Amino acid sequence: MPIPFLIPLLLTAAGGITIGVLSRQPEINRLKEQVRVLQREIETLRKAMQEQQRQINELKIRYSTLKVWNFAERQRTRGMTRGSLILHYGLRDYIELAVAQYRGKVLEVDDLRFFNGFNVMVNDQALGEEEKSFVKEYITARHRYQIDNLIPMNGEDQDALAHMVEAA
Amino acid sequence: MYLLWFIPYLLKYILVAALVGGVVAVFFPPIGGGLFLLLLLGGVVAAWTDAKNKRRPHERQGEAEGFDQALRSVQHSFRQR
Repeated sequence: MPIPFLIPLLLTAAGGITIGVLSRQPEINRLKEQVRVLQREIETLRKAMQEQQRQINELKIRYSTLKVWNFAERQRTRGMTRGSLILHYGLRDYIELAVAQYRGKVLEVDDLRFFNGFNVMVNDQALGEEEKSFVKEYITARHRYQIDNLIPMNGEDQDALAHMVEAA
Repeated sequence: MYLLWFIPYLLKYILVAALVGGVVAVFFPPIGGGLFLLLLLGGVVAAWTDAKNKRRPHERQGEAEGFDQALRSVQHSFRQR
């Protein structure tokens, strides 16, 4: 290929790469900031998760003490425990994905959709019902066994998560 | 407990499959029977899903409640930072 044809081609490619990098920069900065906040607030995060775990354990005790004839209340309590667990594991997935992105991993479409949806929710912004359902289904699909059997994360898992954020 | 809801739902789907299969069979006799069987098969699965969902309205309501409650608690922690 003659050189005069190559130069515009290379310039176009270089321009495309630059525009691509620049257009992703605000997103990268946002993620870096998010991970920095998580690192700063690791203790708050750990406390929030412990508080959640306490609530889940309370709900589990309540569920197991409710008699069979309190069917509706028993089912509702089981549902509440499941709901708390969904958020519990959602927080874990959210943190893992934030760290993965910070380390330069490109997320799959569903992972990214979950990450953005969950980010909106925890930051107290309104999220549509469809997106909220997607977020719940995403988490349930990933942690079905633990959620169905009402198993919260143990201390080791939480510590591992905290270390992962600290190391990022 | 599932059976209690499964049977009426299954009957509903059998009725729909029979109606659709019957109408199609009038115009295209060779397809009618096959279509009925296909719809029946799908109907069994759909009836089972419907019965499961019907059985747990309290659990689903509680799940939404528990999720929102836990979310508020996390939002509160995030707001305080």
